Amino acid sequence: MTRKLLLLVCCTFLLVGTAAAEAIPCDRDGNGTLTSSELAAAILDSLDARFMGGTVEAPSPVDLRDAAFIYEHWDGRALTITDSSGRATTLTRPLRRIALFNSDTLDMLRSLGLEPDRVVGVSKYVLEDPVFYPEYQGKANLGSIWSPDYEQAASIHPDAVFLYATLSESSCADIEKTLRSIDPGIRFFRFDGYRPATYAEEARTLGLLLGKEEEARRFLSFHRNVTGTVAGVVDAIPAEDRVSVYLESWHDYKSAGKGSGYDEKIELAGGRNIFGENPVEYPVVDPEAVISRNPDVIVKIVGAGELAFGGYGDDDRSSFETVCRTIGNRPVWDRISAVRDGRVHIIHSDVIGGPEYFIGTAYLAKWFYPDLFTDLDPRAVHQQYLEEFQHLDYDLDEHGTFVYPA
Amino acid sequence: MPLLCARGVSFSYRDRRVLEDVSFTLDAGEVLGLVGPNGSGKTTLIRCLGRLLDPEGAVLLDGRDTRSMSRPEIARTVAYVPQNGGVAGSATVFETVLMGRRPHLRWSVSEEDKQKVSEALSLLGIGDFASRRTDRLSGGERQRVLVARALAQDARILLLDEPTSALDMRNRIEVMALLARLAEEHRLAVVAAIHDLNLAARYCHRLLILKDGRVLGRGTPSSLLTSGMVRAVYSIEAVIKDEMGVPYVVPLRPSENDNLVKIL
Amino acid sequence: MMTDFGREEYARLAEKRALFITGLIVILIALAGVAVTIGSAGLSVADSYIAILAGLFPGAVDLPDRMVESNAVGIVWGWRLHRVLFAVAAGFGLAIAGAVMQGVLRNPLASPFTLGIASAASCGASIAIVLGAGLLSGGLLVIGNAFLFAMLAAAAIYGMARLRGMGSETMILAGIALMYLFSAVTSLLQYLGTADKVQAVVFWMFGSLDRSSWPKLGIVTVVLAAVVPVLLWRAWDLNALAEGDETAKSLGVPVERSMAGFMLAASLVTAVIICFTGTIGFIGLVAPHITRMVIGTDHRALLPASGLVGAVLLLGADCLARTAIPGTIIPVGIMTAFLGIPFFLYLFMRRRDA
Repeated sequence: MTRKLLLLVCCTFLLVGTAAAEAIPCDRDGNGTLTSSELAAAILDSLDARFMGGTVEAPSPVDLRDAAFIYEHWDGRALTITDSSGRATTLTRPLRRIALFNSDTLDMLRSLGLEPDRVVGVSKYVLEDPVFYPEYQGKANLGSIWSPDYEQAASIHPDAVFLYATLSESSCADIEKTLRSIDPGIRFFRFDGYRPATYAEEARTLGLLLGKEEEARRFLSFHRNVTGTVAGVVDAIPAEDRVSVYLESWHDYKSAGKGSGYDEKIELAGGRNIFGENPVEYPVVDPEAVISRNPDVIVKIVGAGELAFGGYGDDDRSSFETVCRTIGNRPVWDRISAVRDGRVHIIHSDVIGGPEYFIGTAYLAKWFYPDLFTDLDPRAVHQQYLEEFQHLDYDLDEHGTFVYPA
Repeated sequence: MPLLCARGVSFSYRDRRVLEDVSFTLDAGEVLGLVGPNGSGKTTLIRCLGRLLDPEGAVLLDGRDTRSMSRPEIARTVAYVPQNGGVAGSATVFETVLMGRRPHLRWSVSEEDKQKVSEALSLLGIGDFASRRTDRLSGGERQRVLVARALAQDARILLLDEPTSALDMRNRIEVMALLARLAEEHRLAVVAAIHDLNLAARYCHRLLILKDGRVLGRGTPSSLLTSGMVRAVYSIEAVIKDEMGVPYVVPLRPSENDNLVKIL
Repeated sequence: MMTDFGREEYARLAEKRALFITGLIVILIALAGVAVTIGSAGLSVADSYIAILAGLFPGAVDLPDRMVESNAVGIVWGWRLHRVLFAVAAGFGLAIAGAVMQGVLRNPLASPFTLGIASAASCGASIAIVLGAGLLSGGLLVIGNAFLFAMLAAAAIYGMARLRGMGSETMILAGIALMYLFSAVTSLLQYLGTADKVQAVVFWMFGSLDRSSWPKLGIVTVVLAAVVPVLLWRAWDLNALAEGDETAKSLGVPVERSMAGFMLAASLVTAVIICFTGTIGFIGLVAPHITRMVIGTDHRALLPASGLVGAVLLLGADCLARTAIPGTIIPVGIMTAFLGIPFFLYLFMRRRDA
């Protein structure tokens, strides 16, 4: 009985606390548009109050800053954003305290030049990777979407929380529901950041959301350069001339079937997945089936499970070599064209999955059609991505192993 | 009006006829001994009488057909003591005997309930280990606990399946004497399946002899127990002695042939 | 003749039981008081309590700035408080369900998990997570499936028992068969699923209180409030069943109906709890066992006392889970599994002595 009373009281309390639609700061006439004169008046009032001893009620520095942002980036109006799950959110203030459960979206935001101090909380995977995320190491630890730390998330007072749109939707829904009941003022955004089909659109939307439209344009032209080059060449190749590919993940004989992410990337790179018709997303296949289908190219992915090496933190390529040789040594596999012609390639999951997928796709394209992509240098693309967009001081010549053979 | 009446009780278990047309009556104050070889249906008959099994024929308790009685009503009328000390639980002796009060219990235990338990314990001479756990008792002690439980149940009819098989000589006599005395003093009807022919002859007013599910004989011990009957039922040669008016069977050796002579 | 055999000791036993239960209630309240102050938000003890008061009497309490900054009220009322209460309710329910099943099956090692109910719930959850298929939709998909499958398992056991006789051996055998069946299906789904879905299934199966909320707490409380008093009322039947099916029948207990009723009640309580929390094991096994060792087997006391022990155990495990590794919240199901180990070792040692 007492519990029900508490429940009722708590609900009332929460309802009272629910944020009503806020107004745009400094919008004197409240018509939903911030004009240049309203902004000018606000600035003058603020100067007056601070330096001239004026008695006019001045807007706070935060309001002023936000008003300036809205005027510059959002045309003086409230912004309505539709995220990747189709939900529309209207903002009257820019996001200043962002918490991300999704590290792929974090990469994308970084590519758009997001200032690190606008991020207040990250997932534990980000904190476990100081090589790739040096500037986020001091941020609050939110846990993961399967095991979130709600108290940390609440105590950093985020104004926005970013979750996945298509990954573990029920976990994301739970997080949203619970956080909303702790702090009704938080906005929730669902973005993926790793799916080729929505990548460009997401980058554009995020640019708009954060007032980084210029950076978004620059990043997308870089992205389009790579993907467009590949697509341009690949689209011209007729189906019967496509290279046949066997892709294996870090688990022996686990390939990619219809509808899987890896299958999509093989397609984008112009290859034909020999198990592309398999209805299971990640089937374990029979080695004899591989032999009989005789792929032209074999791609092996490392970076997790038993083959958890390579990537940004690992500079040793001998392990990649070993994997390559092991595949070649599989019984009867020396009969496969790919093995005979030395077209067995190892690639790290960091560059073929996640937001760097287009770099991995470039590598695939080059391996599939070396003659058609003589000008394409995926390594250089990767380096440019790291330096220019991820703002990392990381030299690929010295560090990291992502592909083998080079 | 007999307290217990069985008419044409028959029971089949999976195509096997375990009991065939068993009929008898029992008055208040009487102790009936069920005797017969292993597998003759004694346990099954006891279960049928207590309505733990559903037989053909009729079982009347104090004039009422058990089929028309609810289970709690039956529990208030008949108490059952299973063979071999039943299931050993980790409850104390007091609590186990207290379970006998269940047909009368409300949720909490009344003074009267506790009184009955104490009495039952003292009658069976197990008052000293009232607080011991039943799974820490010997087989014989446990058997006495179960008899005490049946007594605490305050039922007018007692059904006991081998109540003395695990007891030593002294305890056997004491328990059987107790049952006979209680039957007389409190006007109870007692049916006991007993292995030991002589014990049955000594303490039971009447005997019912079962073999292969059929009644072979019904009557007082002295009229029933002859060497011919013993040969027919148990297939052994024996002589019957007389000890102070009570027949005493002295087994000699197994019979050569198995001739069944119906004794009326 | 007035005899007093055993009455004094029985009265003492009754006193001991009352004392035990009172002691447990005190411990539980104290533990809850501590639990509300634990969490990674770093609120001080005083702040936690002020936040509780502020939530109960909104507007009456003047909040210091630091508490508004840290959103203490939101954290305590939107997250900590219902989680602590949920731990109490879940521990209580799981322990009582375990005690009832042990009584019905006359096996101190029986629990809802031995009967395949937990495996069934995991299977239902996996189907929802991996295949996206289920009875209810959206946020209730996993919950609905888990509950449905748990009750299906209970119904299956009941059905199999009706066919072959309601003995305890039958039920346990049926339970083990179901456990294997559902585990196999769950494994198949894990094989077919993508990495993130498998991750989600695995985490669900760990069992955690992360997903608690006020409405869920309300549902569990309502079910407990409806079922537990009935169980207590029928506690004598459980006592009788412990003496054996035949004896129970002879004492007037409608054995088949009782067993079915008890199994249904225990399954319902278990299902409604684990559909929200995932499979938290050992509480239903350990709590009644410990309780039985202290106060004996009279279910009138055993049921509520087990419930309280279960509540204390689960809440304690949850506190440990939140503080053991700083910065991480270990799923509480893992913590209870760890707690089970010393318990079973202890049982094992005792066996040797006896």
